[in-house]
Parts: sequence; C-alpha cells; structure tokens
Amino acid sequence: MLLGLGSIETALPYWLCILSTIGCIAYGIKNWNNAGEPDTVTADVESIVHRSTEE
Amino acid sequence: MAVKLITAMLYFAAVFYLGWKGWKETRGASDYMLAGRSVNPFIMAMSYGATFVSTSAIIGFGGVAAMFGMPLLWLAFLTIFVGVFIAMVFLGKRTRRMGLTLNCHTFPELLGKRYNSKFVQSFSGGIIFFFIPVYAAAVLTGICRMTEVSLGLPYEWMLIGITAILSLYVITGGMKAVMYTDAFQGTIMAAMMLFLIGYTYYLLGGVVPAHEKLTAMSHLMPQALQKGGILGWTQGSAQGTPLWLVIYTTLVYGVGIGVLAQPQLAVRFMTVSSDRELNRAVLYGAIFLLLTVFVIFVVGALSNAIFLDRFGKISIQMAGGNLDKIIPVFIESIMPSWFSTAFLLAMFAAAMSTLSSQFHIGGTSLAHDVSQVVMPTKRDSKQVNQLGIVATILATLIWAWLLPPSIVARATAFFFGLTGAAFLPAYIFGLYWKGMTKTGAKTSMVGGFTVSMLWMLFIHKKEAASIGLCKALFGKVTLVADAAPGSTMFLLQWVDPNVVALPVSLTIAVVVSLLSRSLAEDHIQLCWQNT
Repeated sequence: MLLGLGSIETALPYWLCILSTIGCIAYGIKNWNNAGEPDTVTADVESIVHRSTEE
Repeated sequence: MAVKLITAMLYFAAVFYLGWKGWKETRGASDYMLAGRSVNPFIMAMSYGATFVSTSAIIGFGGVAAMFGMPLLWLAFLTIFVGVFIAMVFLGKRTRRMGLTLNCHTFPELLGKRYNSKFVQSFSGGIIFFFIPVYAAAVLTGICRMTEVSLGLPYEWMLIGITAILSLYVITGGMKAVMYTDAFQGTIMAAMMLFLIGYTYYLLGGVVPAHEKLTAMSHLMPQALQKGGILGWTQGSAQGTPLWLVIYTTLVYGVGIGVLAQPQLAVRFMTVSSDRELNRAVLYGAIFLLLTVFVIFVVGALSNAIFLDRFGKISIQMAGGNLDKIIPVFIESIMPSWFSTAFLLAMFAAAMSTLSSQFHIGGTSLAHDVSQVVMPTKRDSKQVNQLGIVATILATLIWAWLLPPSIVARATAFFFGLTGAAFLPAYIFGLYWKGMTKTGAKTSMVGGFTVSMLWMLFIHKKEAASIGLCKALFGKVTLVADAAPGSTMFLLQWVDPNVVALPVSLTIAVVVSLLSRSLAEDHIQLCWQNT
C-alpha cells in the first residue's frame, strides 16, 4: 500500500490524489445530465436581446 | 532552433484564431465579462485549471518538490479535492445561481450586491486591481526569463512581445477569447505532463521501483534540509520543525485553502448556464489538476533518483543550487530532445493562460467595480472594461520592470495571502449564511486584509525579508527574528499569513454579524431566490 514510499505522510496523499480524482470522475459521470433545480430567473436582459437579434 | 520557431508559430496561429473567434462572438458586456454565461464545461474546467496552474507553479513547485519531496502531495490532494470538488460543487453552483439572480458580472460585484454595499464591491475590486499586476508581473518575468534562455531572444523584447500578443486578444475578445485560448493552452499542458510522468516512471523501472530508489536515498538529503526537519524525499518531515511549518502552513494550507478565494477562478463559475456544466467540469478539472500539480510534484521529487543514476548528483546540485532551474535542467538533460521544445510550449501556454485571466480580472475590477461604483459613467461598458484592462497591463509591465526579482518571486504567495484572508469568509458566508451582515462583511474583509498585510510585512520571513520594510523601520528582518531559536515566537516567521489572518477574519465575520443589524429580509430573499 505504501508503493515503495517511505512513510504514511507521503503515501496517503499519493493515494488520496488518485482516489479523489476517481471520485470526481465518478461524480461527473453520475451527474452528467443533472442540471439541478431550474433557475427561477433568466440571464440578464442584455444577453436575451443579443441572442434574439442573432436569431 | 528552426523546430522551436515553427512550433511557436503554429502555437501562436492557434492562439490568434481562438482570440479572433472570441472577439467575433463578443457583443455586449455580459459576453465581454462572463463569456455570455454559456461556456462549454470542458472549456470552463480547462480555463479554471490553466488559470490556476501557471509556469511558476510548475517550475517553482516542481523545484520545491525536488528539495522537500513528496509531503507536497498534500497540496496536490487539496487542489483536487478543495480546488475542484468543494469549489465547484459547493461554491460554484451557489455562486452561479446567486450571480445570475443579482445580475453580477464580476466577483467583487457578487460580494457587493450580496451585502448591498458599494464599499464591499469597490474595496474588493481595489484589492484585485492593485495587487494582481504584481502577481501577473511574477508570471510574466518568469516566462520571459525562460524564453530568453531557450530561444536566445532579448528579455526586454520578450516582455514587450508577450504582453502585446496577450493585450491584443484579451482587450478585444474579452472573457470568451481568454477562456477559448485557456482551454487550448490547458490541453497542451495536460498532454505534456502526461508524457513527462510516464517517461519518468519508465526510466526508473516502474512506479514502485522508482519510489523505492528515492526512499533509499534519504541519507543524501542535504544537511541544511535535514537540520530544518526533512527526513527524506519520501519519508516526510519532523513535526513542528521550520520546514514542516513551511510545507504545511505556506504550501499546503496557504495555497490549498487560498484557492477557494481566488477571484479570477470564482468568476468562472458564473460563465456557465446551469449546474449540469459544473458537474461535468468537476470531471475535467480533477483530471487536469492530477496531470499538472500531482505530476510535477512526483516528477520533481523523482528527479533526484534519475540525476543520481545518470550523474551521481541530486537535483539541487545539478541545478547549481538554484531551485528554479531543477525542472528546466531535468527537461534538457533527461527527457528526449524533442520534448524540450514541447515542454517550453507547455510553459508558454501555462504562463499565457494565467496572464490573460489576470489581465482580464484586473481590468474588470478597476472598470466595473471601482471606477463605475466610485465615478459612474454613461460610456459603453465594454469600452470602460477595455480601458481597465489596458491599465492593468501597463501596471504589470511597470512592476515587471521595477520590482527586484526577490519581491516578484513572492508575489504569488502575497496575492494568495491577501485574497484568502480578505475574501474567503465574506464569500463563503455570503453564499451559505443568511445572518452574515453588511457590517460583518466589511469588517471581516478589512480586518483580514490588514492582519494578512501586517503579517507579511513584519512577521513572515520570506515576504518581510524581500520587501524590507521591517528592516528599514526596526533594524531587523522580522519582529520576532531575535526570539530564542526554536521557540514558538521564533517559529512564527515560517507560519503562513493565512494561518493567522484567516481565523481572525472568520472570527470578525461571525462576531460582528451576530452583533450588527441584519440586511433587509426582502434583500436576503432576493439573494436566496434561486439557490
């Protein structure tokens, strides 16, 4: 488990870096399409105007 | 040389194309400051990571890892777990939602509108505008020195040339140009770092054999570092020693926690259109930081084993005692020859992605948060922001020319120290605690800023020694320099400002908020309407 490293002080963060990245990947995949509660407000008027003029 | 120049030209062609694309798609203030709040999650995550990880982080921290060894991996872990997961999931989503509700375009504007305070907005904007050019000057001079050595071009030409290229696309293309180029630059960085770690482990015969070689070298750790508390590159450090304090307070706590209060990073949460983009960005961001921060710490430490095998010397000896030369020497003498060109490109990308974001946030802070709040004008918002960016770029150039290298080298830590203590409590409580008051936010920000500044000027040895104010006023490098060596008072010189200033700022925020008048109920309801 120490992967040849000389102490838990260095082996633990080595593993934590890899495990936290795997955790973040899993979180991203699990919530890939989760947009949460829909926004109750819209983007500012300026962007709406620009988008509508572009269309 | 010809290969280097052709590669550089291809790189700049891509950067100019992306800058032009950003300019073409930019119409109003929202596009210019927040990329229209509709950025792709990959671009957002890569831009976030590439802004955070600069050349000095890779070269500088890689060199530090070669000296201190693998305990620095705690910082890599914090940047992934705190800097990506906690930041994006717990702060990012609320920042985006509250920013949208309050129609905010910048980080200081978010704080200002959350607390219904022009002072909070302009004070935050002022800190960012005043101090980010020093941080930018550190990144700029770093990459100019590197290209001066590698391409043989005069330092002053590089300073002007790089600034001119950045100015062109940051001033014209705003946030879209910044984020598009960041994502491209971040991709180059990630690819190079992946090769770097793969080749390093290959040279040492695999992961475990590589670590075992380094573990067996602990007796070669320089005497000065052993006296300071380092036990070996993979053995860690003795608790409570000066170098243990440097590693765990300045590097791990200072930078690892300080990342949460970086305005140039927090503003990126407001550039996406929903929580879904932030969820996806968690995936991309974590991989990017593993490939950059984790990789450079591991390679930095392992460089000792490779240098010993090849040349019979450890890294710091190979670099002639200069910590910042360890990674460049490793790349030049150990990696395949084609890689030195590719790595130089990656370092260029790392510097430019950080600089573009620094220029952008410095400019918008001055224009949108200081100038428009203190002296409102009816001029076009985009034009005012462009003027702000020009002012930030000029300030950066002036600092880069005037400041001695010793001060520039401390600029990153200085900026992290100030922003952590000044912004973190107001920002986090602003998102999560309805009871945080306007007075609580004001006093916490001013208190945190003041304590952090005083600590760096008079107690923390690295900044105090390079700035020299304490020496000029009191005749000693720090106020505790003459305390008994080894005593708690003496060791304070190695304690990061955030270790002291952040708890002070947090305490002020809580106590003053409990004692002062709450914000109006309808204002609080408005802030929380979309969370």
